[in-house]
Amino acid sequence: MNAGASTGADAGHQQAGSPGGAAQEGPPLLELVSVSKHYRRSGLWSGSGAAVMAVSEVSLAVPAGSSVGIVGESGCGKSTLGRLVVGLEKPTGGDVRLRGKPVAAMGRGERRAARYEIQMMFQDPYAALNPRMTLDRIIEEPLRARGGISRAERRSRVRRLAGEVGIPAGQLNRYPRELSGGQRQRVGLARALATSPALIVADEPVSALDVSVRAQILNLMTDLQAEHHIGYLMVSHDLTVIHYFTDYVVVMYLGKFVESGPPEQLFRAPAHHYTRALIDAAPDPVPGRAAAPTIRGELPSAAAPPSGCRFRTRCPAAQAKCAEEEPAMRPFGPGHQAACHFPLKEQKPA
Amino acid sequence: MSAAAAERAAQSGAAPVLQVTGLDVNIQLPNSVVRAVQGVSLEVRAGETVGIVGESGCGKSTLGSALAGLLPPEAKTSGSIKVGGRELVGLSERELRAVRGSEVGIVFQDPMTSLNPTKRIGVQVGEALRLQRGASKAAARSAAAEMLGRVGLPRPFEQLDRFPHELSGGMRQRVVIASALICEPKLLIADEPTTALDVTTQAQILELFDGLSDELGMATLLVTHDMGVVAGHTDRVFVMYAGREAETGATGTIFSQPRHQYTGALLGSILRMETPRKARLGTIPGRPPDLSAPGAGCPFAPRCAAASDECTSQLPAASDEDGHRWSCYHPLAVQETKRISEAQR
Repeated sequence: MNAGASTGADAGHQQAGSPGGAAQEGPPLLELVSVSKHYRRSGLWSGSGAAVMAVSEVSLAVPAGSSVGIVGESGCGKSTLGRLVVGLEKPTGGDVRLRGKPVAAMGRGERRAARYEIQMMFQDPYAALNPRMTLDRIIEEPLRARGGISRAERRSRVRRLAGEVGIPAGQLNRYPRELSGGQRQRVGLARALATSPALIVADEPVSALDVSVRAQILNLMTDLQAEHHIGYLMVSHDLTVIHYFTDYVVVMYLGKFVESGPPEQLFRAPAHHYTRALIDAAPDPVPGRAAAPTIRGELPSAAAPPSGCRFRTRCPAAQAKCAEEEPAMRPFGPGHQAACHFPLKEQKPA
Repeated sequence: MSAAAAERAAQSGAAPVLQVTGLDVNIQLPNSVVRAVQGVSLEVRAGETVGIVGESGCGKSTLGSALAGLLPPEAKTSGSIKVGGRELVGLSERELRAVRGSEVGIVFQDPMTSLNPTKRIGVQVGEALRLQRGASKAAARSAAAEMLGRVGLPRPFEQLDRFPHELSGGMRQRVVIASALICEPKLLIADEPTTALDVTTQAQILELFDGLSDELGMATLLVTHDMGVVAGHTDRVFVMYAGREAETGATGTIFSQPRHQYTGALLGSILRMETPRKARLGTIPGRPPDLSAPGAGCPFAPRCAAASDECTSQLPAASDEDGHRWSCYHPLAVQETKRISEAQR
């Protein structure tokens, strides 16, 4: 296992817990310990046996009631990470732990219970909602699947959930196609909330929405977090959303964490050149201030990542050392760490 | 920025590349007529980029499709759309196709609707050059590779013989953009061209658009919901609500001194890096009206915090101050607009 990633992860554990204020007793709600996901390439070219490393030895902690954000370009592995957390994918290495217990080591019943504790919200709720079900059926579905409560109880809970997310009870007999994007995202949120989860993995939850509706959904997610002490793992390419919403941010590149820290520090004074490039490329709603592309091209293939630092092929500051040696995570202040040989700022104790 | 080019064009007194006057688009449905665009007039000069903004359902994409001549047959367009002085309303599909291929480049959000799945990338991108400019096969192919490189596609020569399904979504969109730009069109109509792309790619594409505006005097109409893109890459903004112009003016003016209540509300709900973390965000209650049953009065009135009786009874007339135009009975005072922009800092 990569020593750098593990140092970074340890610092990450401590910091990700602190923004919530209250001291965490015991293990964090969710913990990833050196988690990897490799896909075997299949088909015509599989002869070489090269594996695509979608996620490579990442460690992270999400304390109860806090929001952790993951940013990066398409193909960096951020969505795969979200799917590993909700159990839609199985890791090929490492552990996903819920309240300190590895999910893989859980018995059948326990794992089933764990599944209802972690729910998912998708970018395009329309694709995620069954078009032939009415809204009340959609919201009720996870409750039915879990079982254990009466039909009448389920019905009343569905009404309460709908009320909480702002869907009028009179609309519950409608179908998803009759709703606007914002309304659908509310239904997606109500369904995610149905089993009273401790963690919601939100994959680009507001990217497809208009600015006005985006604000409504983010306000709602914040309210629900305060009321139910929900943790969020938010995956997004939108830095303003991540900056606004999360307590701790991880920047991912080609399956690895390259920088992590509290959003204020990470966005104001990043240490990694990749983070800087993402910030520079993000459009800022200030007239005349055009985003500047500081890196070009695409992510290299995850099947054959560059040697040394994976970002070096697009990095403006790359030197010979970057190709030879993989940089370890180093501290740049409290809870802030980055893996770069030639960082943008001085190293500082954690 | 294309400001310099826009100034040059304005000074030379050249006719606008795109001139739209009194445009209506009515879409006939089985039981109703959707009045998707009503009385829209706007122009885009050479080298200038105009942003069309508004929420989903406000008619901005219908407007884009109408200008591109790509509306379905059940949509009836009236009014005038002139590109380079030539009237497009009333042209046959065949005539429109010729205009689209050579003078007007079009980029829509979903690349799969614009690409032919059975044709290789190089052929598709170079096609317009061959058809419109009579370029040889070899010339079209090398021009295609060059343009693919400019839109940031890695190893463009290797991509020429691939098919669209072999590329990622972001790469496909760049192929569409390359096809739209290869004939160096006078006018580019781009509807959410970079919404599906990563910010790093988006920045490259927008920089390329800006460059073409400057170098070739390309006029650009950019339909987008991303106010960050509008702020950084447009010269003027056209705020649309319920199929109509709500407000229009220079980008700097619209952002710093919006007058229409809708523009103010829209700007107030934008998330910025400066937005205090976890602070309550401004929202606009409700949603845009059903365009098949327009009421009397200002269409924004039902959602507007400042609405009065007047607003619900009659459509407000447009006020005009040096090209900054708004239609609102209760325009935001300049002081108020300052407060909005300060609150967001």
